[in-house]
Amino acid sequence: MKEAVRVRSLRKQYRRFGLGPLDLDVAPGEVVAVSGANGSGKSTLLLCLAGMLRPDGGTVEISGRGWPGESGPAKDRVGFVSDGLKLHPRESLRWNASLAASLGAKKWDAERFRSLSERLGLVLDERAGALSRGRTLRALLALTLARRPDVLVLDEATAAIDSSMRSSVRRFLRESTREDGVAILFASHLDEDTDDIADRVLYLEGGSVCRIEERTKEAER
Amino acid sequence: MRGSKVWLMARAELELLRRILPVYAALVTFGAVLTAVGDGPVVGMGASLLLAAGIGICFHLPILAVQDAIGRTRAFAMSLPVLPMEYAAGKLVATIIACLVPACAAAATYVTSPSVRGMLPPEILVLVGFAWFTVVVQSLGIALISESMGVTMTILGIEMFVLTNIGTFLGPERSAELWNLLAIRQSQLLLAGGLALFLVVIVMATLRGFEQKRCYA
Repeated sequence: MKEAVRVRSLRKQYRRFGLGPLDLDVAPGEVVAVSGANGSGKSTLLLCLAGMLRPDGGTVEISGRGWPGESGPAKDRVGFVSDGLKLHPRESLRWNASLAASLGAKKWDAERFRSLSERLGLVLDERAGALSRGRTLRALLALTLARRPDVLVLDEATAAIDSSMRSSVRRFLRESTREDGVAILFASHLDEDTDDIADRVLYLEGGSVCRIEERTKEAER
Repeated sequence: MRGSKVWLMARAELELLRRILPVYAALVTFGAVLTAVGDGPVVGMGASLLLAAGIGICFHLPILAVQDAIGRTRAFAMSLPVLPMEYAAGKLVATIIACLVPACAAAATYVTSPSVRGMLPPEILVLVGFAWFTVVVQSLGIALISESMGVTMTILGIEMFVLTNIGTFLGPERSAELWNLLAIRQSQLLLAGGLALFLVVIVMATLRGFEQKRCYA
């Protein structure tokens, strides 16, 4: 089976920190948690995978299409949610969703977006600028999941969400891996996220993988 | 680069500009009408209003582009299925269309007002409009690549200073010579060609520069 994510010799060098060279394979439907202390390279790795950061070397393939070379098809297949993304504050959530819908037209699932919005307690006519951090993250998750990406990259995407809603979010994520075979890579400082949904945990230290741990999901125990 | 994505980004940008574009169009129209129907100081008021609206657009669009980067709304757009070059091209296309709104308002006033038509030959007016448009696109390019309000405003400020004081720098005799030179069709075509070439270079540099950026988050 074709890997959902295939990373080879990925490198990113900053002045005082370097990531990699790093190899990684993630199967469709697999959930990989990226763990490590602050500054260990978690966000750098995830940003490179999402096409938000230009690596200095190596290749990244998303469902067989990758950069450098096939950036367009690869970008269409990956969804990215982070605490650092902001919706257009003066526009409604509906407007922001329409932007995501138009750019992800082929795979946009309006029905799924409506149902996710309801389940996550989102009001589509609300101005995005009036949303709290937690609600913004919920909206971003709904927008991204409605695009039905092959790979979902989440960088601290549940940090600002309250604990009761966080378990709902984890449920959606599990559903996505089961129903659509979405591969998920996420970084979170919350152990409950890692314990609940990760199949594998990748521990980073100083930009390199120092340990890999296979997990049995709570649901399967 | 996919044309459909560029157009979708441009459409989204224009929707974001929908509240300010009518304001600039109204300012330009009001300025042009004052220039057309007034006399003495009223003509000066109209001209200054036209100049203010033009300068306002030069500053406003780049400020929005920098705000987009600093405010992380660009990161949201870039997290969607759009490539850096498509995002930058969308912004440029939206700017071109946005500039057309006040330009059309000014052109309509010029065509319908005989007194305004008598003040400036149409070729000079088109050249001034083209130069203004080039400055707007160039400022947007600088804003997109530098992501810095300071850099963008400094360069734009220097350009505004030079362009609005060009008569003073050249002196009365040379200004008159330049004016006479601009009245010749060949000089006009040469200037228009130079501006068009400069515009193409700006657009290519902006697209390439934005694509080469290291981080969009």
